[in-house]
Amino acid sequence: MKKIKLVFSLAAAAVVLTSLALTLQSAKRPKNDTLRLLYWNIQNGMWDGQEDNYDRFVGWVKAQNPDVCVWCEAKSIYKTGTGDKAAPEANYLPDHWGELAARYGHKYWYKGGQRDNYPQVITSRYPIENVARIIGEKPDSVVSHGAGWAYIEKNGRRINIVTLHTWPQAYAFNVAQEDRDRSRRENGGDRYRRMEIEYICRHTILTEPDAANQLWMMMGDFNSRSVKDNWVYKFPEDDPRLWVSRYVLENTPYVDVIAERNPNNFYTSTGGKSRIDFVYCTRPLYDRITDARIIDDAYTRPVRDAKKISNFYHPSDHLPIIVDFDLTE
Amino acid sequence: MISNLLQSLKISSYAVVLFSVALCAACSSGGDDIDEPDGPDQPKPGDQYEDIQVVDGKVRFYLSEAEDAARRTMGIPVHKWSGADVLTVNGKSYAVATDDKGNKYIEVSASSSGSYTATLTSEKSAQWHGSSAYADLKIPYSQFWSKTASAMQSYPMFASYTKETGNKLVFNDCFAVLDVVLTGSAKIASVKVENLAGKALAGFANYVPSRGTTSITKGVDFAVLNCTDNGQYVALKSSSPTHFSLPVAPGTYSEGLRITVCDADHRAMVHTVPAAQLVAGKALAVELKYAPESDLVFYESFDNFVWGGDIMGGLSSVGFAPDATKVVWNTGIDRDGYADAYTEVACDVPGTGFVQSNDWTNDVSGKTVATSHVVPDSWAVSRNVGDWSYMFRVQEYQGCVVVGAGNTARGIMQTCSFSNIEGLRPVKISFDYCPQSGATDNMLVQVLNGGFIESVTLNGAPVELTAANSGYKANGAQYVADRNAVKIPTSDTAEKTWNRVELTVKNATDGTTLYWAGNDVNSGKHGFYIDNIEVRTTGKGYERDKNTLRVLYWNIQNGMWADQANNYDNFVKWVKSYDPDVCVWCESATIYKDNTNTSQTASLRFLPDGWSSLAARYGHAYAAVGGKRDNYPQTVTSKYPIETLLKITDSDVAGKPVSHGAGIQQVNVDGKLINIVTLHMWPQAYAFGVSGSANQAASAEKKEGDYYREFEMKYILRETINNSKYAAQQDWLMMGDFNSRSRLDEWYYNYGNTNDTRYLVHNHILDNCDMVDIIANRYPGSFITSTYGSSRIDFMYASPSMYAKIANAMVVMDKWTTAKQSTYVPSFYDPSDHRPILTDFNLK
Repeated sequence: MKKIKLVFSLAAAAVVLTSLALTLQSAKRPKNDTLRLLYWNIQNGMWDGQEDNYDRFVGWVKAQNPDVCVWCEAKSIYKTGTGDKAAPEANYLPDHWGELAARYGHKYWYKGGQRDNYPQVITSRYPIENVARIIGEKPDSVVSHGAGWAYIEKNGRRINIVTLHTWPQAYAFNVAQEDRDRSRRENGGDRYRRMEIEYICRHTILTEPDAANQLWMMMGDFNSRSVKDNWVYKFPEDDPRLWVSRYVLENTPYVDVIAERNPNNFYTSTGGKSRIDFVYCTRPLYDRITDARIIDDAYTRPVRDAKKISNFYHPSDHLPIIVDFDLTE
Repeated sequence: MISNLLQSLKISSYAVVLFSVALCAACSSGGDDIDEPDGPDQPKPGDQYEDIQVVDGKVRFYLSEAEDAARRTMGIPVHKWSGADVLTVNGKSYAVATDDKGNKYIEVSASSSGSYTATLTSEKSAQWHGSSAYADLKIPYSQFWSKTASAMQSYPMFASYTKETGNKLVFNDCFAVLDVVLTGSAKIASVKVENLAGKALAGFANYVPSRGTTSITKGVDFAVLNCTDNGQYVALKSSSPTHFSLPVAPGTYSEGLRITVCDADHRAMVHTVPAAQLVAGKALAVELKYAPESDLVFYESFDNFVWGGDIMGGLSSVGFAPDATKVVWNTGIDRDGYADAYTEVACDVPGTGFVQSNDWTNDVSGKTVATSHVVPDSWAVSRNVGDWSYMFRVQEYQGCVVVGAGNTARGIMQTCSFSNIEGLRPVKISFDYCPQSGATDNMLVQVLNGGFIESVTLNGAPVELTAANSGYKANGAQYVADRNAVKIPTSDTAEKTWNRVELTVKNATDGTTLYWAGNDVNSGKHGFYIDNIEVRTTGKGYERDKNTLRVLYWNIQNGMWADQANNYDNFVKWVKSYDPDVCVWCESATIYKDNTNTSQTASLRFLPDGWSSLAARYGHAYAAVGGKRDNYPQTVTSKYPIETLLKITDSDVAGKPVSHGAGIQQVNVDGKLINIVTLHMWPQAYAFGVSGSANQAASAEKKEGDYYREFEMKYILRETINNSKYAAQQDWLMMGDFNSRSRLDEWYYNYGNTNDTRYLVHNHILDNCDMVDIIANRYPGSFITSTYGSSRIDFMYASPSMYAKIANAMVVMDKWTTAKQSTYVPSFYDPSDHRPILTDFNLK
């Protein structure tokens, strides 16, 4: 598929930044029986939005008109315009997700297992029920940025949502400073992520013997690349960087949505050339997808901070993913 | 500094008093003691100092210094008696002796008349007096913070025998001190005191012991304490007072004293002390809270200019210089700014030569007094004029300056910007001027970089403004003062009168500066004297209606490169200050690394992709980039949603693109659709695509650059406003850097005809659509540059429907946007080589 198809509401046309409107074809969403998922790693709790009270963020999200949002890095950490950490009580997110989500029309919000500055949050038009908040187990099975398992119901169907954000470094979690080089050489980071994904899957989808016939989605920043994209990367077959995706594809009923729908195209999910954010679905849910794409527009395109603060980008160092499902019979 | 010293002194002198009380209590039982020189402060009746006794033809006097000596407020410490002291009584010197209790005394020859008059001096005292300590005493009219006070430690002190003091000689000062005690938060540059009776209060004086007072023999009616202190200035404190102590002649000032305090920021406060009695040896404290007059945004009365003759006063006036040099334009430029001046000079002798080099082009143009002067640095600092743009062929006189009288070439003087003005304000600018004797030239006055002259008065009478004596050219409103409208002095030494000029100016900003020059560039007698410059705001100024849509256009050179290393903080602050609703930026892409002209790595170029986050910082939620085909795209940001209707990069002719792109951005202002064509024409004199210097020269020769721009304009107009596809759209704006001039400015450029190829672009617009050139039509008869130089090449056009809604339109001239050559890359300007254009549309 060469052309990305945009499903686009009228309201969105009036508000959204215009280059998007030009590059994507416009089409109306069928109402009521569709579900739009918006997933995005919003770097440092949408630090970029602190500058304007999240006006552009809210405006853009509203224009996408999603039913469910999944946010990675859903916690404020830094002071506006600087790389200095703010006092904990000064951080707007995650405590005020209810307020922020209301601005783009979502009444419900949910936070998965949180154990550090990088939790995931789900917001939704529909009630969200928690199944499990996952943070792993000491000493060797800590899920570094936590994970969450919740579900929503739509048209009488239960849709399971698993959010995650795996360990980001090349060295393993909890390795002392002096041992990090060694850990890097031993692919400690990849081994750790491989442990995390297995732990998360074993505590979510693999607890349900019939999951392959159910509606499941799992999404997040996997901090690792996919075997599905290796025709671009050309890594060795058994490269540790591909382990996480290999585990998911070989041990669970999940399908890699973007890769599956675009077999001959590669789309980056970051400012560079790497697809490390994924939405996975079980086949029954995947079959209901009408559109799925990574959104690179005038607002979302990652721009390095002008002051080159840390590794901060505007609005994020990742790109969002939108998936539309048709939930009619 | 002095006040701190003072504080500790007060404490220590108290301690001395208490200590001596204790001492006396211990020794008062000894009935044979002659006296107690440092006795208790509250003598009981009959317990006065002992009177003097003559023993063997000698009289013993104990020595002391008046506790409240005038010099105390100046921070001068209590005198310590020592072998270096030179004590004379009735003209004879005596050595200081110490008695067994440690008291200092002298034994002097008995006087047959019974009067004893004493002086206390030291080796250094001679600098302060003439043939004797009583004669030709210098009461400094030009005083310097801490330096003068420090030097005056050696100032002679005087004492006389009286019945009341008995055998104790109590030394005190022969001058009085006006102690101006200030609190506040400014940095003070000068404190001046003037005798409103016009009589001298400082200069040379004699002390008459029999009357206990000091009379001026030759002097001036003012004294000024220069507080610039090598650029430190004297910072006031709001909590504790700072003493500005000026020694002056004692006397009765029946018409009062005027105190003028100026600060480093060119603001001032005037306070008048009604009839005052100043007594020798005493300080008169005047306590004030320094609060500069709120409407007075700039003030310069050249109070720190003290050298040279009183040019206005004529032959009978008094003026001083550091030495007797008969200064001309290229002498007297090596005088240290903090030099004392006690050598009398004639009224027509200036205090300095030219402040700046006589070579405008190579040494002065584009610089400031701080960065280009031939007088010592200390002069520029001590006169608080380092931030002035020009003092070209300017010389110092007592309390004023002369511009361009030193030789036959014209002078130029330009102030610093009036940075105390906030926003757009109406102001009244006034100053005193007087032409030099035999003047052959008129004086050109310009209000530069912000503001239009609305009216002028001369000595209170309105001046008729005509095309000949006024107008707006490039970045300045002009007024040419006709020399024949005032009295031209008959000779340099004649007594002269000031003429007051008042300019009523609208839309002044913090970039506004005042400029004077001879109006004629040919050789002649161009000179004029200037004093008492005041700029006062006269109202709130223009405020936009809440229904206005404010559109701001600017070519921000190389993506605001000048501020990118600063995280665009100044840029954001500046945009916020105008709070526009829609911005159109030309050259809206980052190209270079910070502070160099080295190309930035593509992935690290913040703009144009970063516009969304940058615009958010000044309150714009929407950003849209037009057609981008090179490093110079245009971007629109807005508080309202933007829809990009068209991006242009190519044309319909192969190989002839629209070089910097163009576009239509439609802004939706609460349902009203405003279509903005943004563009930026090809910038070179040769055509696009021509390479090699010889080919380019040939192309330029054939005006192919002009024709290329015309080609671009024709294509853009055809594809946008004149495209039937947009026939439904009524409200259009078109703006950008056209890199072309308009025939509407032919009266200024004088090319000779309106078909000159340089006019092709705007001729095409003016002849092929109904768009209106906003600035030209709003300011007929004025030529307002849109660049740092003198060319109007940035334009905002409006459809008649939008033009009719204009409430205000202007080329923005303020302090921050006034171009300065970059200190990093000389070919770049800080912040841009262009000026912004701002228009308010009343949409209701």
